Amino acid sequence: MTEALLSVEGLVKHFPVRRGWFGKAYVRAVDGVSFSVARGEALGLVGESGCGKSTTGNLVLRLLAPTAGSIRVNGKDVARANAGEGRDLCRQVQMVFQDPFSSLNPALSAGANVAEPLRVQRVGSRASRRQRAAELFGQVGLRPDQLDRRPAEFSGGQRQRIGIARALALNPTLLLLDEPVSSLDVSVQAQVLNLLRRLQRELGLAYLFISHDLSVVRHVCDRVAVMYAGRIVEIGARDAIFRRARHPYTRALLSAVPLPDPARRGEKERIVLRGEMPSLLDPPRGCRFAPRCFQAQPECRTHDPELLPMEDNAGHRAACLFPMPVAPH
Amino acid sequence: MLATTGSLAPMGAKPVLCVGGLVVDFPLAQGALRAVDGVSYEVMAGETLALVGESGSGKSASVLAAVGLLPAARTAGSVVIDGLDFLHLDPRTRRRQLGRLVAVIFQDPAAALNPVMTVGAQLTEALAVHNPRLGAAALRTRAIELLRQVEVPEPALRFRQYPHQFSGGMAQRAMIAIAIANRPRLLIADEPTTALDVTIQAQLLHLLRQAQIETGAATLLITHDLGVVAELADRVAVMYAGRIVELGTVHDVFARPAHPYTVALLRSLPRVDSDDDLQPIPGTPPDMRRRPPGCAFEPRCFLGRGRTRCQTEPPPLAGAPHRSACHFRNEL
Repeated sequence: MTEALLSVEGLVKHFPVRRGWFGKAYVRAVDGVSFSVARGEALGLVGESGCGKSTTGNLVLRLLAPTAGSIRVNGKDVARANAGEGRDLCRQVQMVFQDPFSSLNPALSAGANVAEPLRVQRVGSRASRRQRAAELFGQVGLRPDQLDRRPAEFSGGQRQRIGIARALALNPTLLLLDEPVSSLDVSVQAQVLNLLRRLQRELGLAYLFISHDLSVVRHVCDRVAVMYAGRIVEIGARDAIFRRARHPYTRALLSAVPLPDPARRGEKERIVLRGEMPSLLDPPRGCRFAPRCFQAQPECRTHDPELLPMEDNAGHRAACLFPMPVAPH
Repeated sequence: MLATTGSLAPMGAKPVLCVGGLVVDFPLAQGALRAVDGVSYEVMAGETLALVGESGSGKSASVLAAVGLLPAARTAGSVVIDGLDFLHLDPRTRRRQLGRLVAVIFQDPAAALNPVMTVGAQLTEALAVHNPRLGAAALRTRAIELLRQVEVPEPALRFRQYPHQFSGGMAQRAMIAIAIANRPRLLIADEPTTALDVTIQAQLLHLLRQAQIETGAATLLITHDLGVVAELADRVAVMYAGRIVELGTVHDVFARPAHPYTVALLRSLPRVDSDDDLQPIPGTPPDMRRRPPGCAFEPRCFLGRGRTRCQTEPPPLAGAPHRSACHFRNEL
């Protein structure tokens, strides 16, 4: 395996909450998460609300401090970075936000928004920064004559392009994208997804792509990690997850997505899960998915399964005591 | 299991909802914004019609204005629900029909439920308003029965709780219970599962189908999600820039789309069961204040390719039963 660009080991984030008058409890938002992203690779982090995917992203960006575990970028532990190294990390890891309406500065022109990271990092002169912004505009499919317009004059899809251009300004090696197309209409979503794929190929970028939308992840990511209740329950190459998923939660998640194909209504055997994700204040003792699992055995309620390699491929791992057989195609 | 083809309505049934030439304008400082521009459709009892489109296509505005839930909008055209001329009804009479003849399930249950009333109180209120002769004990029994019907666990306990004690999925179940409490003739579901996670959405889609079979209501499903449409609808109306561009059975529209916008939309959709490349639709929907004089989709259309007719003449919604508003549908 190639050297990892981002490597996350045993990451834990507990948020303290008050319970009663004197009691204290912890929400175990992220509870032992490990994964890595290689140079030029797109890893999708998928799961439902509250599974810990965005908290994981915020930890990687150092917007939150982990309770335990380590995050390394290029082998360097981000928690131990000094001021200079911290600035360097900022250049390497950049972020694209979900909402293009609230993540751009409305008082600055579109070009100034894109050049802002360069200004903050004191890169180049004013003129050279504007030059770079124009170049980035071209890269994301905007016209240089739009540089001086305000964000309010752009549509949602165009604003997301501006957000992407800004993230690329410092030539990062890793982009963290948190639901980057979730607020866009479908006809515009495909434009932005194709742009992200092209940029990844052309610039050799690595992505940590956080999304609740499995269809979108299938079209952008090389590898996928599925999270449930603060843990990764299954991780593997795109095909391993979408064609040979072994964890019952992954299977249920995939089968729950409604297909835009009425002819297949009823033909697809849908797994409808009972109940909801457990409280992270007091997660179940054994497997966290066991209370909702349609094939749970008594052991599942007492044994917490480890993320173990599946036989098809060493990179494919699932945290289940009784992985489901691969469905014949 | 429920039949999946065509309408569930008996032959020759009269439509529950009949919308004709509906126009919705929003008065703005710079002049009126036409959000809906002449929309006509019917929904039969027991049938689900999906209105599908992107933000600003007028799918929500056309329905909410029709039942009087957009007081700021100016409306014209006709809306007949169960024989009542709904658009010209005086507001008090119309209000009295909401919750009885027409019920609405909104996208965000947390915003639609009253945070300072228990869920039980809201359910009994909905029942009491339209059943003044029911006593407190009977109301309570009926409300708990409704919660059980929408599969809320421990309904007697949940009856006493407040909306903030409910998860999103559970709150949407409560909304559905309130909506079906008085057995409405017309059920409007406005993006009912958009705010929910996909495994919870699967539960709710199942429940919505049950609720519809149970009440036999005509259902109007407003959504942007073609997956949800394929799952739930009998017929589909595809909306673009305030007009219906295609209308037909769900099978016809998905298998043989007759409007270039529908064709392009289906090609641009990422699918969980496919690795095929996405073919985006170029450009963006038109600014409603500067609508193109001809077909509104023309600037983005792969079929029109700048033909004068497309640029000058708005295409009528034509053909039966599979209707399309395209001058060149036979070229598809």
